[in-house]
Amino acid sequence: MTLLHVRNLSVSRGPRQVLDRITATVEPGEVVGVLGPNGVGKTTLLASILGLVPSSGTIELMGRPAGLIPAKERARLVSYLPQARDAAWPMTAEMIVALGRLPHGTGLRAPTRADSDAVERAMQATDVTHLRSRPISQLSGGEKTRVLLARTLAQDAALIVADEPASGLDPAQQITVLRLFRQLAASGRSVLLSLHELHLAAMWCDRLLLLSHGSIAAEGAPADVLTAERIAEVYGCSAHVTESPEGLIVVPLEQSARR
Amino acid sequence: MTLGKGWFAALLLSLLFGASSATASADGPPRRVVSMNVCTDQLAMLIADEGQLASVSHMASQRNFSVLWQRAGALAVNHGHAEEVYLMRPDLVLAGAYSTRVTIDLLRRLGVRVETFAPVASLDDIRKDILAMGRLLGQSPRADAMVAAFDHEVAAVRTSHGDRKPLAALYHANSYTSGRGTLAAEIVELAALDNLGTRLGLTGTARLPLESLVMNAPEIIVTGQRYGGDNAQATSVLDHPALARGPRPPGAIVIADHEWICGLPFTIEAARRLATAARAATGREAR
Amino acid sequence: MRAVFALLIIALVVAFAGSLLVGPAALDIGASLSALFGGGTEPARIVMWEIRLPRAILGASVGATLGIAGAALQGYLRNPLADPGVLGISASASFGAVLAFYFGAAAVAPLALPLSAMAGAAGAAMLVRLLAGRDAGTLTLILAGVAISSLASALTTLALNLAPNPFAALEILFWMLGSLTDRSMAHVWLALPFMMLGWLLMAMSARTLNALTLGEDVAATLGESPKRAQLLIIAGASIAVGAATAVAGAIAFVGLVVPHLLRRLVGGRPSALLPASALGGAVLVLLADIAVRLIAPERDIKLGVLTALIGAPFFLRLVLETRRESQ
Repeated sequence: MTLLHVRNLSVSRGPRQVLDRITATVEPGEVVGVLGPNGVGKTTLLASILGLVPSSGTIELMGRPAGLIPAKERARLVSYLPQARDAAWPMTAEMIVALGRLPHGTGLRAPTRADSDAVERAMQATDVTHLRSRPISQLSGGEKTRVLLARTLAQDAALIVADEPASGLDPAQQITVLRLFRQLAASGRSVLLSLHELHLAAMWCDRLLLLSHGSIAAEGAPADVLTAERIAEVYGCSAHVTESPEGLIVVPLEQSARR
Repeated sequence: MTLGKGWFAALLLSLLFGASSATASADGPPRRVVSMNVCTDQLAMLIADEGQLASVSHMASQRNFSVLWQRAGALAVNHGHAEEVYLMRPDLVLAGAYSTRVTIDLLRRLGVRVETFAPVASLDDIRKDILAMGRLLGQSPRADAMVAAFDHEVAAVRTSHGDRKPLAALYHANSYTSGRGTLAAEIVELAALDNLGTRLGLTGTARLPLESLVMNAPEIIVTGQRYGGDNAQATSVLDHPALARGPRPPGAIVIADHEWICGLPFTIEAARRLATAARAATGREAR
Repeated sequence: MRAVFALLIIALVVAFAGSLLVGPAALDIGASLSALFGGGTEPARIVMWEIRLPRAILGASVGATLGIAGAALQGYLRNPLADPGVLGISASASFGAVLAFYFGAAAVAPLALPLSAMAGAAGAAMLVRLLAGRDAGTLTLILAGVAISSLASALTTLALNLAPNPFAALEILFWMLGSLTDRSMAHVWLALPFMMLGWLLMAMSARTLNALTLGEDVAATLGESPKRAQLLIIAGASIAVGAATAVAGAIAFVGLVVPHLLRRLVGGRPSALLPASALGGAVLVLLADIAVRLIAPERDIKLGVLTALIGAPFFLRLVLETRRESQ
């Protein structure tokens, strides 16, 4: 069954149409990337799928209208890693990760075995077990992202929605995060993420949605979406695109005049 | 606006020329007296001739503040502002010593004669004030007679003593009491009562915590009246259950502040009421 | 963390006992205790049961109210500078109380006093929410609080000036700075049930507050409702702070200092900070109330003077810290 099915999703802010009749799907076991220049509506798309932004059109999760699923049950289906990486209070990394178990618990009771196992697995997956008792306020940017990602994983949701999870990370950390997403997909879960890095999108995603001015400019496998012409059209820069044994390689080159 | 202009012109003129037409009468008793303080208001009303007192303060005609409020209603009212007092062209202004110093200074600079009266702290102060007022208003014979009558009444209260002095506590707003050196304490003692404030070694007006009041278990508590029902933190302590729950709920006597805050001949009425309460308390014991 | 709570409880017991043993009536420990358990002289029993016990109960419960309200407001607004005093909630509660107290409503129906104070507090809380909006910056929050506090203080002063009682204006100090002097059991019964209701409502938001550590969006995707938490906290803080202010005046900075001191000790988690701040607030106000009786027993020093002396430097330090972080 299709995990996420979005049909004719539109969002307007005042007179401005931010998203215009977007239709998209995410299947189980897929990593789907959302691309597009700044301000094109990537974050708004993710937020409206999560129900954080009012929208028109239909959003279905496992065949059910998302708006009719109780908040707690929906939280067990979809988890969210926002772009903002701040935590208001100096809680330890482990406490932050454990917040991911809120939708599975009832009240403030002591964590169950399943909870602590999930927290442990999530921390191992993002390699933050050694940071467990450090206050999050004292961690570096990369460490913080990994802790917050572990929090998203601990939620044990079928779909992970991540807003620019690679931003602010060094290349090795970016690859760690994306490899993790691939592993999750291999185990049957799905990831919907927005990205700025075209080379990462080309290499690690199963499918891409390229947004332009609030609607979908192209959709499909990376090789079909990321052509030099389309990159020039949407981003306004030339690019070098080649197939290699490692996968599709995309290198943006130079700003073109026609933007 | 005309009043404002007139005032300004008068102020300018007098500042320029230093003299004042207001203080025209150089000799003889003053003929236009303005009083700015509720205590001097009442003393002047008692002693002045008809027509001699031109104006009293607005408080003099309020029954919460003044014993002679009905009589004050017939006189012009002032609010203690230099402007309005000056324009009344008084040849004598009567004021309290502490409350309106800035106003008094200004009036004096404008050449107005201002006489001040300090708050009274004893029965003797009352005598002195009556005599002083008599001299200022040129009514000394009337003042002398008043003092003689007052002394007579004081003596009458003093002779009506019982054999035991019940303990009495003065409990004013905000948990204040009166100790040594206050008129209230002297009046309480004149009424053959033992004043708690004095016994505790307090001087002047001082705070008496509710706890201390309860621990000393006075037989009589003298409180002021309440304004506008119970609606003040200051007097809400009088509703405190600790006061009602004593073994002998203390006899409560209400003496309104205005009955004895000024040194006036009828302050003796407070002493008379207290003496009656003292006799009742000792009598209660005898039974 | 268990040790922190154990220490706080011990401190509360000690401070409560201290509050019972300190007072102008020279009762030694033996006499106080025997009077408390029904022995001793009648006046001593009255002092212990009718004067010191209500004072201690109110000190503890007013302090607990301010502590937990501070922790809840900070958690909800995600800002360590939030506090019922700083946000103008206490000052507005004072205004409500003054209206009911001096214009006769409280004399007719005693419940009018806390209810009117609660209405004032709720008005301020909603105004703060409106002015500061979602994810308020520190500056916006403080400015909103300053504006609301000034307005409430001005209205309080005006109401006292216009009150039928000519001496009402002299009581501005009580309403602005707070005091527990000579409160009675009647005040306890009037305020304590409301304060407890407020505590309960705020405590019900604890889980959502934890989730809000990562922002409103994450909280919502964790299945929590920030809207529900907002309702619980505005209602809970208004009810509890309103009732506390109605009987003790506006006491500043307790809700700011206590959560700040305890946050790291309980691991930063709002759900643990709520009960810890309730205990800590109770201890702080009890200690401050003991101090006002020891420093100058013959003067009625206002409680808020002492908490402000402790709290204002804290506040400045916090302002500096947030400024450094935002740079």
